[in-house]
Amino acid sequence: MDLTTLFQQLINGLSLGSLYALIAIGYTMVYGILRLINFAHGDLLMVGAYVGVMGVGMFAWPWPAAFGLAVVLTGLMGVLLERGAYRPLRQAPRISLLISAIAASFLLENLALVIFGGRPKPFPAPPVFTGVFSLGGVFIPRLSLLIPALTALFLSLLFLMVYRTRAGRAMRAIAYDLETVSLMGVNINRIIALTFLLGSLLAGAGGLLWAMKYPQVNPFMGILPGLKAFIAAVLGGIGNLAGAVLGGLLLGLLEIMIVSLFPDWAGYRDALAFGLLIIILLARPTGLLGEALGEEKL
Amino acid sequence: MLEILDLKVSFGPIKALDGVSLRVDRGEIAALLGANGSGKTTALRAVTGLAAVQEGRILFHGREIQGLPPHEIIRRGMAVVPEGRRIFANLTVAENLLLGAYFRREKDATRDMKEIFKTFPRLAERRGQRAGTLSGGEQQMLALGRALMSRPRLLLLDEPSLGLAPLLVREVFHIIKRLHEQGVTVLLVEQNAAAALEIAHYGFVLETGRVVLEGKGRELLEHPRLKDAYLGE
Repeated sequence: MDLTTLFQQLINGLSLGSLYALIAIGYTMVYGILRLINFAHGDLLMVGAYVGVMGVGMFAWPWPAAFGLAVVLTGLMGVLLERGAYRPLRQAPRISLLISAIAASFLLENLALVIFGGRPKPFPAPPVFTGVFSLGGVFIPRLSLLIPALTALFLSLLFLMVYRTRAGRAMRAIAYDLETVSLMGVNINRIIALTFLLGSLLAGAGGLLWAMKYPQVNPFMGILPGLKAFIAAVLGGIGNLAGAVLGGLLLGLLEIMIVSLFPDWAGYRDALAFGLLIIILLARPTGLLGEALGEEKL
Repeated sequence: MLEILDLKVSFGPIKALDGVSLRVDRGEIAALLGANGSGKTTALRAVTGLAAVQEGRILFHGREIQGLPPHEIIRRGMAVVPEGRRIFANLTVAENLLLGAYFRREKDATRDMKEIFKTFPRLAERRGQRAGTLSGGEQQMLALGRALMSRPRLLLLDEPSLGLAPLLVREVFHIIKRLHEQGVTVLLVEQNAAAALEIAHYGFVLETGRVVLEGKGRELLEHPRLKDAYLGE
């Protein structure tokens, strides 16, 4: 592989990894406070993408309006999910929550199937996001640069929110000890809803970017990216924000590099990610940046 | 200030509180005593909304608070130092304190934090440090400071002496007394009856979910029934 190709592949890996990171954040934040793997999180991608298609394609709205609405509606869908599927089970055994998450995932997928039909729809990417840069003989799709840039922007905002605001403080404290946070006069339900909102907003943005990168939309498009992002979150150490970002980038780069170094293995790309998951769980279940789980967390 | 009337709380078939009544008057230090498993902590949890109340009433400033969610009860002017301190080990000392003042204006909170640092100089030295790295005694101070950050009118303390060296126990009780002198009403839950009644004006003794004995601090300490409540009959 020559240098040009390597550079190109690095950009590709970075772009895919950014998407994983964007989605992984939602898994890790929810896990952090509720110890729940929100299996419906991947499907929020699909929700965002469909709203985007409707806005830009069907109603021919200007893309900022359509995309803004898509992100906001996806965020609210996440909050609705918490309200309807998880909050009523807060006191129930954790396995019930997990089952409820899987049910919510099926519900979203099949709802989309009924409303939009099973045929994939093309995603009409606005011109701002299309086109190709040429950099000294290297051709890079504009989107491949925009995705990491936007991801960096969104994640900076998120980190500011989590580490520099009062609500973020409460969020981190809840991850450690939910009950005691309520004794500080914090409305726990509001903070949990906020957590779902933030994670789902990012998933909405991720869904739009994903749909432009692989320019079509179908009811089951969220499953695989969702699972991959979950693996990324585990790789980085689930519950850890920086870990989710690191895990996402690593998984993206790894996938792209393996495929470009060994093109014959391209078909095993997904198997590679899941194999990695098994290895992490066996060798280092707390992931790269995760800390050993204390009593509080078990 | 706080009045509990015929409070009943059960967990499944187990009656943790079986008709408890007690009263904490404004400006006093009241002690809730009893052996392990007598229902002391459950009573505190019921007051703060963490344990569901089956029967009975809890009045705070004359208003019923049973059935309210914890944050609404707390915002009416209570603060808790929970059993085992329960500080947020993953947050810094300063962040722990600021969380204690969650529902107050940030400006007031920062000002009060300076006051807390005066009372607990050790915390000031470690303000940027993760709270999990503090020693047991420092964590107890942090839990106290965190509770004070909300400017409570009623301070609930659950076993503040547990697991502390005797010297530190004395310091903690000394601080509680000082807080009381500053106008905070205190409900102190303690297994260590002797230490608690040293500073308490009035005490209640719980045994298997019932108040079996109550009285003025010193007098209660000498009551023959007190020993029975701890040792069993």
